[in-house]
Formats: sequence, structure tokens, C-alpha cells
Amino acid sequence: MKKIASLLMALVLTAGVLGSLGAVSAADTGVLSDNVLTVAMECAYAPYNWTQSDDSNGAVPIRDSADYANGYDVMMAKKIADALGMELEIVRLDWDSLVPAVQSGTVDCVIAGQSITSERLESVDFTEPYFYASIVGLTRTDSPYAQAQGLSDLEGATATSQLGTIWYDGCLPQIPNGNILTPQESAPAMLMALETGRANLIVTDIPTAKAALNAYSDFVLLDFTGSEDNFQVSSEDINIGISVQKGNTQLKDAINGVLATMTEDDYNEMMDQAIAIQPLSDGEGLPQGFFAQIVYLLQNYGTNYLRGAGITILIAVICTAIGCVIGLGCGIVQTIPCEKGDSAAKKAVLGLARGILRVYVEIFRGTPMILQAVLIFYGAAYLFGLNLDMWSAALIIVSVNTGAYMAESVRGGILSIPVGQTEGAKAIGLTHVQTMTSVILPQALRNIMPQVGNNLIINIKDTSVLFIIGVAELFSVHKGVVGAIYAYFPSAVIEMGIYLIMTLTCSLILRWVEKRMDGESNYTLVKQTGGLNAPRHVDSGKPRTGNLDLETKGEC
Amino acid sequence: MNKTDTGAIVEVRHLNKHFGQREILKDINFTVNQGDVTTIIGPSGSGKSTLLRCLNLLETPTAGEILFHGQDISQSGSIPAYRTKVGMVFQSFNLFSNLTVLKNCMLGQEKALKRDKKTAQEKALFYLEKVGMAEYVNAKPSQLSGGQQQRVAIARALAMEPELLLFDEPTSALDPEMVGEVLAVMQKLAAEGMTMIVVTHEMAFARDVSNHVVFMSDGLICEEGTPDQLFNHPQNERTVEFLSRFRQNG
Repeated sequence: MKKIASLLMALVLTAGVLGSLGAVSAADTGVLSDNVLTVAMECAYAPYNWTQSDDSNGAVPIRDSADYANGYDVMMAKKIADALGMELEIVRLDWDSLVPAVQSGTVDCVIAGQSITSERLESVDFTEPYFYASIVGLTRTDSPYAQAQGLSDLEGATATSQLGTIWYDGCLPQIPNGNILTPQESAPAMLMALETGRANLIVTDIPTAKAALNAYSDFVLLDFTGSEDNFQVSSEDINIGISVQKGNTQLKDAINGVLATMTEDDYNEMMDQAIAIQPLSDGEGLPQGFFAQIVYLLQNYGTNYLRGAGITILIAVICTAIGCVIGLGCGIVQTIPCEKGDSAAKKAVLGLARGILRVYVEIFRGTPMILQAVLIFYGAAYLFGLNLDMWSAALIIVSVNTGAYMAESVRGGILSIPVGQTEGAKAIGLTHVQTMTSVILPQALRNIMPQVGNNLIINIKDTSVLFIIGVAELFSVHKGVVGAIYAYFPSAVIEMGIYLIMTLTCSLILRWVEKRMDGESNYTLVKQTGGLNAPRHVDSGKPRTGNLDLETKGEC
Repeated sequence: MNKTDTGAIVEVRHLNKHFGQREILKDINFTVNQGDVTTIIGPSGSGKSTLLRCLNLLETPTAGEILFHGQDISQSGSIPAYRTKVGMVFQSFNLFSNLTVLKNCMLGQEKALKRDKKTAQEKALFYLEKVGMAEYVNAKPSQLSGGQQQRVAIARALAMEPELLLFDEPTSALDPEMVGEVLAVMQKLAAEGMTMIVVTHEMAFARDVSNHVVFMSDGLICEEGTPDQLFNHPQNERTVEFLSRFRQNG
């Protein structure tokens, strides 16, 4: 994920002049003119920010979603918006999308528990810190490190942390003889690694650790603050800041003005409040036992899963349909015959069109959809100042992607029709277009139905990458749920079940459609004495073979 | 058979056809008159089928001209319009597998001739009746035997009411039992005065039904004439050799 984000940044940055132009124009038109402070966060990073299904405890609605966001970041965002007399809008985005989003001007600022690192400072500007997150360790009560008094006691620990954080990159290497596992993609995943025993130690910041203690009663906090024997980090690494678009000093100064009215104690107090209102903060934690947890999730988040499933299936079906139309067009153009006698103009136009289609197919088939999603969504805003809304972007990306696959399927489907079918149609005087629409395409479409089914099922699953641009589809529900209450494994099982139900249902429906397309396996013989409307005599349907004595039938 | 010649329908002049470097047809000349049943015989690979396919422009001739009612078909504008007047029956039937028997016989009428649905259906039924397949209007091609499919293919061509029918080895893909039913239909058409050009290995049909036989070998017309001339008094050495082999094989 980190790699994806940096690759993206590189792509966006190489845009150079165009890019800086875009940045300036976005800064001019954004932020303060519309009087709405648009703030991006993951909504899956308790206690900084999380998703909940109602507006309790002052939660704020998430844009383009039925969910609400709450947490330290939301509380801070409200405070800033109030102080500046602006309206607040919360946008849910994946962690990797936060920097591109603020870079491209899609959102005004990111308040998402981001450390102010020099790396990030190359891409965005940061305000003064709005929290100081000291670094702690977490282990289980049954681990040999539960009694650790300092860093040296952690010698040889099997440890991990979250990808792309100072915890992983800066702190884990300080563990003496540490057995460092690969990084985890998110905080909930990291906690899961500790809970399942894959790791004996994880390193994180104090808010995340405190929040985790709410959910996992068997976790032990290892806080070495004040001791010499602690993780050595620079203040830069634990300063949590708010990022704004580079050069947007107007907004940065405004936010700094608000932060200046608060002290570090104010921050800590607000964080304790956030932890206190976090889901599972009633002290009970998650119910014990796998099935109990599943039931708990379904009771509390059942409608979220269903809504996510609805969005997933809707996007998948619509985009598969649009993609098929795109693919059909491409496939037809690719198979238009070019004969010797044709005019040079026709050949040139056809050649050009085919070249373009070829490039389209190769690019969209040859690159990951997750990158296309980010490029189209943020690239359009960054390079051209074109702010696509999330839904259009999602529909475009998945349709265009499906189209690229279907183009080849349709081409193959057309080529698979025996040449005799075309010759038979030509021989009775049909034009190329008539031949295609009446004879070739109906057969080709039947042949590519399994491919349509494949694409639909792939789309149901692959829409999960749309969480990267904030679409509240099924997988993002999972991210939201585990970001709030860490029930990683049960939620994954629920999601698997829902995906499987959706794909199996689609398979069955498609099989039925194919059967319908094949038509009757039997046919009825029609006695011609009374014409077509005469009572039908049902035959066995087996072909009659052998000679029919034509001579005895006489003239008609 | 008594045929009254009312003028040439097709004249082929100096026709040449190359596939890459290979010369398939070399300076072909022949004429087909109204009501003629012309059979083209000869060994495999002699260019018979290519010649037939050139006649309705499924192959584009490399050189020479094909005159239809005296007009060069390559200059006559719309190829599809020309093809509606020159029907073709293929060795492998080439019925549209997505359509029923009835629709197979209606499609060209509706799309190319712009006949209304009712007329197209009446004509289709009329010609299906003629080939003895009217009962099978609801069947799909794959549900029929080869002989039945070929008879439907003939009806499909007839429904266009063409001036000339081309048959490209219409019985070669059929087992012997079914050959008879297709030949019977063709014989009936000949008797009704349909102008036909038939590429075939059925020597009995060539001898008994056609009034004009063309023998081809190596892309050349070696000999042509009445069945009596060709079968009973062949002049060309290649013809003699080919026919003797045919007699040996039965």
C-alpha cells in the first residue's frame, strides 16, 4: 500500500508544470471561498477516527454515505470548523489516498492521525502538531514480555507494526535481536497479529494502544515513558499534524490560529474523551468466542454490511453492463474486414481506430484497477482541476476496465463463428452490418456469455479496491468495522460469506440466462396442411435421417 | 432435355485467380444460358469451387471479367444486390445456427429484398414445401440431419427467387443415404427450368441431369460440351483419365 501511494505520488509529481498550475488554481478556488471545510480521514483508525452507524456522541455524517464519523480527529475538525465559522464535511478515504487527496485539492485538509514526517512534508504542508503521540508497546498477558520494564527486556521478541509508520520503520529495529515480521496493512490488522499469536509484540502510539485495550482484554500496555530504556524517536516522529495542500498558507495559518488556543493537556484530555466514547468502550470489549463475535457484528453492523453489499452489487452489475457495450463496440471495430478494394480513407480511419482501441485495451488490462482508480479520481483533479464525484469515478473505472476485458472476449467470440456463417449471409445478399447484427453477433454473444459471467463475478470482488477512493462498498464496510472495534477475523468471515452468496447467485442467474438463450432442445413438427397455425404435432425432437421420398410428395 | 435458350445469363471471360503466388484459375472462359444446368467436374484442387465462388464474388477475381446479363459484375455497384440474384448452396450448408429453419429462409428476403414479413413467410413456406422441409419450420439447423439441412439451404437460396443458383459440391458432406434426397430436389429444380451451375463429384447427376458439362483440371477448362460428348466421346486425355478412374470406383 505504501508502495502504491509513493508510486502514485511520483506519477502525480512528474506532471511538473501542469501539476503546479493545477495546484495554484485549486488553492485559489478551494477552501475558504465555499465556506465548507472538507476534511479527509480513514474513519477506521480508532481512537483518532472511526465509523459508527448513528450520530451519538456528536458524530458527523460521512459524505456520500449513511454512516457517521467520530473520534479525536472529528472532535478536532469540529473545533476548527466552529472557530473558523465554517461548515464541516467529513470524507472517508483510504490511508494511501489521504496525501493524493490533499495534494490534488479534492479535500481541504487531512486530519487523520498523520505523523509530520519529512517524507510527507515534500508532498504536503503540515500545521503545528495537534497531538503528541508517544510510542508504546502492546503484548498479551500470556507472553514472556508482559512484565517488561524497558526496551532491553524485549530482546528477541517477534514483533510487527503498521506499514508505512514510524512505529515499524523507526522503532522495531531498536528491539535487540528482534524478529521483525512483515508490516501489517492497518492498525486493526496489526492488533490481529498480536491477538492470534503471530506476533508477541506490536509497537504503536498511546491512543491506538489504549483504544485496543478496550477491545482486547488480554492485552498489556508497555509504556516506558520517562525511562532511559525506551524507544528513541525524534519529536518529528510523534508529532501528529493536519496536512493541507502545499502553498495553502491561508488555511494553514487559520488552523494554526485555532491550535494555538489549546495546550498539550487539552489535547490529552480530548483524546481521553475520544477513547471513552469509542465503540466497545463500555468495558465489556468484544464478546468472547468466535460465533458470539459474529452475532455481535451482525446485530450492530448488519445493516452496514447489507448496504455495502447493495452498493457492491449495484456497481458490479451496472459496470458489467456498460463494459459489455464498450467491449462490443471495440470488438466489432476490431473485426471489420478490410479488403483490397476499400478506399484509403476507410483503411486509415479503421487503422487509427484499431490502434487507439489496442492501446486502450492494453493499458486497462495491463495495469491494476486500484492504480487506475486513484489516477482517474485524483489525477483528474490534480492535472485538470476536474473534480469527479466518487460515484462517477467508480462507475467509469470499473466500466472502462470491464470494457477492456470484454473487447478481447467479443473479438474472440466473433472470430470463433465459422466463416461459413458469414459466407451464407453474404450469399443471400446481406451487407456487412446486416450480417453482423442478424447472424454473427447473436451467436458471438451466446458464446461470450460465460465471459460476461466471469466479468460480473470478478467485478463483484474487484469493486473492493474502490475503498481507495472512498466508495462505501462491502469491503470498505469491513475496514470501517475493524477500524472501530478490531473484530478483524469475524468480520472477514462475514464478508466472505456475503461475497460468496452474491457470486453464487450471479452464477446461477447467468446459467439460467444461457439456458434461455439456447432455446428449446426439442422442436415441434408443423403439419403444413393448415399453415403455421395448425395444431402442432410434437415430435421426439430427434433429427430424422435417411431419405424422404420426394417423388411421392408431388408438386406444391 | 429440351431447353430454350433465351440468351446468356453469365459469361466468364479470361478469368484469372491467384492466391499469393499460386495461380488457381487460368484464363477461364465459358457461358451459361437461361435454363442451363451446367455441371463443373474435375479432380479435387482443380479450381472448380474457386471458380464458383468468383461467380458471386465470395472470391475477388485477379483478372478477367464476369458478365451478368452482359454487364461486368465488378463494375455493377452493389455486390449485395447482385448476390440476391445469384443464389449459392454450400458444401457445408452454412445455415444460420442461431435461427430456425423458417427464419433462415426469411432473413435474406426481409433484409436484402425488403419484403414484408408476411410475404417473406409465405415464400419461405412455399420453397420449404418444395424441398420437403415445411414441417421443420421450428427446428434449429443443429437439430436436423445433413440432408435436411442442405434441403433447407436450397430453400433459403430459392426464397430469394434468384435468376441463377450456384451449388458448391452440395452433396460432398453428406453420407450416401442422404445424397439421394438432395439430388432429388436438385433434379426437380432442373426440371422446372432453374438455371444452375453445379460443382459436383456426382457423375450420374452430371450425366443425367445437366445439359452442359465442364471438365476442369489444374485451373484450366480442359473440355466442355454436352453430357453425351463428354462422357461418351471425351477428346481430352485428362478427361479420359479422370472418367476412367470414376468408372473404376463406381
